[in-house]
Amino acid sequence: MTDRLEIHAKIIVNAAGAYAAQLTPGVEIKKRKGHLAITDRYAGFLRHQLVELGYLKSAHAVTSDSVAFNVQPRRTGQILIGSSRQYGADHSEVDSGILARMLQRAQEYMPGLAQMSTVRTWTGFRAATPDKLPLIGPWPGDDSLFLATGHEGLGITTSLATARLLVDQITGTKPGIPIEPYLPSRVAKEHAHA
Amino acid sequence: MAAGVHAAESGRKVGIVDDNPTLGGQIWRGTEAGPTASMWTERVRSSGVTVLCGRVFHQPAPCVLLAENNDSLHELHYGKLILATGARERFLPFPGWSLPNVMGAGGLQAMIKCGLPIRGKRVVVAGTGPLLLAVGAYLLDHGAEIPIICEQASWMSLTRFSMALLAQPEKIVQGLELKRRLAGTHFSANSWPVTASGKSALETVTIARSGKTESIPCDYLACGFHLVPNLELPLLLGCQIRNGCVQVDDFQRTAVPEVFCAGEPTGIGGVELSLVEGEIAGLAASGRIAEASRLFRKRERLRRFARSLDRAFRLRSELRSVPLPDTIVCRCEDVRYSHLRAHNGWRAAKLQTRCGMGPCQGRVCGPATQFLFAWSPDSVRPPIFPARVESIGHTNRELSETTGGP
Amino acid sequence: MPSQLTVTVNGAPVAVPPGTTVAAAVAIAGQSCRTSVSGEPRGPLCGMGICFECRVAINGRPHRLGCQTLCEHGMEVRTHE
Repeated sequence: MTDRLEIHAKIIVNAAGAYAAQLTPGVEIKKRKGHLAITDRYAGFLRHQLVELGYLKSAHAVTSDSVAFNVQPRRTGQILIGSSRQYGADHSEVDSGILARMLQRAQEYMPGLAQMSTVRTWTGFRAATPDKLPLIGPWPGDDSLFLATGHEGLGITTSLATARLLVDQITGTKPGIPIEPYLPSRVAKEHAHA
Repeated sequence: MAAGVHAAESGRKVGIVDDNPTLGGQIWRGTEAGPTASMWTERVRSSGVTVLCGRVFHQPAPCVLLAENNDSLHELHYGKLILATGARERFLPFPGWSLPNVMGAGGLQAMIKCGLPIRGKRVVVAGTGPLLLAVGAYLLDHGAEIPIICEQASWMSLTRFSMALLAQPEKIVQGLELKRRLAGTHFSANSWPVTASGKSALETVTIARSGKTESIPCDYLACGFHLVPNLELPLLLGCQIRNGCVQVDDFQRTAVPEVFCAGEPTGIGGVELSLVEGEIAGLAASGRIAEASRLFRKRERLRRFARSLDRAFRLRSELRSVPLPDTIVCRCEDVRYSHLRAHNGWRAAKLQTRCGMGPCQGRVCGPATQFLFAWSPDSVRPPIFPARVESIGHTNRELSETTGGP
Repeated sequence: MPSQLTVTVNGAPVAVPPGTTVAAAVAIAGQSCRTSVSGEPRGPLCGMGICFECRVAINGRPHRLGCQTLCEHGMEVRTHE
C-alpha cells in the first residue's frame, strides 16, 4: 500500500479499473477518458435516464474521440449530463473542446438543458479491453490473484453479476452462465499462440 | 479600474469585465461613491475602456475567456490580461449562522447599498478586521442602531495594529474619522458570536466575551472574519500560488505569460494598495516601465500595512470550538460539523458528504474547513462559476480552427 | 427616471427605488429567498453573488442570484421554488 503497509491474503481481487495494470503488469487495459457535467437542482424536470442510440456506437468505437447524449436525473434533482469517450488522453484535466461538444449534443436532444446552471464538471477513466469484454477470473500463473476489471462504462451496472461470477470461481461452484468469454486466460492464450 | 485606465490612456484597446451589475467591484458598489471612486469611474468612462458585466467561468483556448451574465455570453480574446478578482469575506460557522438576517459585514453593507432598509434596525457587528469598523460607521450613517461591535482579536493585537497605521498617512486620517463616527458605540475586543437564534429569522445573538456569554436581541448580525482572495481564475489560468496569494514580480506579472495580477489576490491589503498595484500593472502592460517603477515605493509602504493587517487579525483557536456537532458547515448541501470532522481531507469529505459540491463551489465552506480542519481545497475545474449549459457548450468555429481541434 | 418601480414577490406588489436588487426587494417584502436541502429558510449571506443563498426564480427562470440582479418594473419574483 502507499503507506508501506503490507496486507497478506489467500485471495486478492484486482478491481482497480483503469489502473489495473499498475497492480498486475501485463493486464491489457486501455484508459478511456469520459467527461460528466452536473447541474443545479431542477426537481421534476426529468424522471428517467435518456440515452441516444448512438451511445452504443460511441461505446464500441475503438479509436476515435466521440460524444453521445446520455442524461439522468439524480435524487437531488440535479441533472447529470454525459457522455464522452477519448482514447489516448492520459491527463485528468477537463478537455474544453470535448466538453463543449458533449454539451452541444445534449442540447440537440434536450433543448431544455440550455438555460440550466451547470455547477460542476469532471472526468474519469473507464477501463477498456481489446475485445470489449470484461476480465473476470483467475490471472494465469497465479492461483491467488483474480481480476474483476475492464468493464468499460458498465462496471457499476454489472457489478452484482461480476461479483457472482467471481464468488463462483473462487469457491469452485458452477457459474450460472458460461465464463469463458470473460476469463483473463483468453487473452493470455492468444499471446501464447501469437 | 486603475489598470484599465492606464492601459487605455496609452492607446491600448481595453475591456473591463466586472461581475457585478455596475462598475466598481465590491468596494465601490452602489450609488454613493466617494471622491476617489468618482474620479476613477470618470477616468474609465473618458478613456474609452469597454465595460462589460459578466462572470468569467472558463478559458476554452489560450488567450480566450468566456464570461456570462443573466442575459448574454461574452467571448473575450486578449493580448494581455490583468486579473483583479478581488476578495470575499471569510465566514466561520457557529450555531444558527444560517438563519435569515445573519449576513457578512460587507454582505449587509452591500445589501443596504442595493436597497435594503436599515434605519431604526438593531445590528450586531462581529467577526474580525478593519471592515467591521467601516461597516459600523456606514450602518450608523444610515440610521441603524449598533448595540455592540465584537472583534475577536485581542487588545494587544489591535494596539500593535494602530501603531502600524502611523506609517500610513491615508490610514491615519481614515482611522481618526472612524474613531469619531463610532465614538458612542460599544466596541469589544476578545469577543465573538457563539450562537444566533430565532424562529424563522434572527432574533438574538449570543456573544462570548471575557469568559462570559451575553445575549443581545437584534434584527441583523453583520459578521465576517476578514477577507480571503478570489483565486479561482488565477488557478484556472495556471498562476503560481504561495501562502494563499498569487505570486507576481515587481511589475505585477504572474508566472503565466501575458497575465498580470493586481489587488487582493496578490495579498489582502485594502483599496489603496489595490489601486497602486493596478496602476503598476496597467502601466507595465502598456510598456510604460519607468512610470510603473516610480510607484514601487508607494506600493512597498502599503504592503507593510498589508502585512500588519495579516498579523493583527489572525483567527484565534477558540473559534474552532464554536461549532456544535449539528452546526451546518456547507450551506449549499447542509453538511453538518460532526459529519465533516470524521474525514481527513477536503477531497474525502467532498466525496463522502457532498461538502463543496454545491453552486458556491466551496467559496464559503472552503475557507471555513481550511480554518476548522486545516484542509486544503482541490484544484479548480471549469466552470469556475456556475454557468448555463449553452454557455459552456459554446464554441466559436473560428476559434476551433486556429487551435486545431474540435 | 421613475422614482419608484414595482416588482411582485410571490404575487404581492413591492415598490422600490431604481438601483434596488431583487434580494433587497424580497427582504422588503418580509420574505426569505430559498429553502435549504434540509428544509431551512435562507436569505442572503455574502451580498456579492458568491454564496448562492439568495437564489430566487425571476420571471419564471429559477436559480437567479437576487443580490446580483437589479429590479426591473414588472419583474415577477418567486421565492422557495
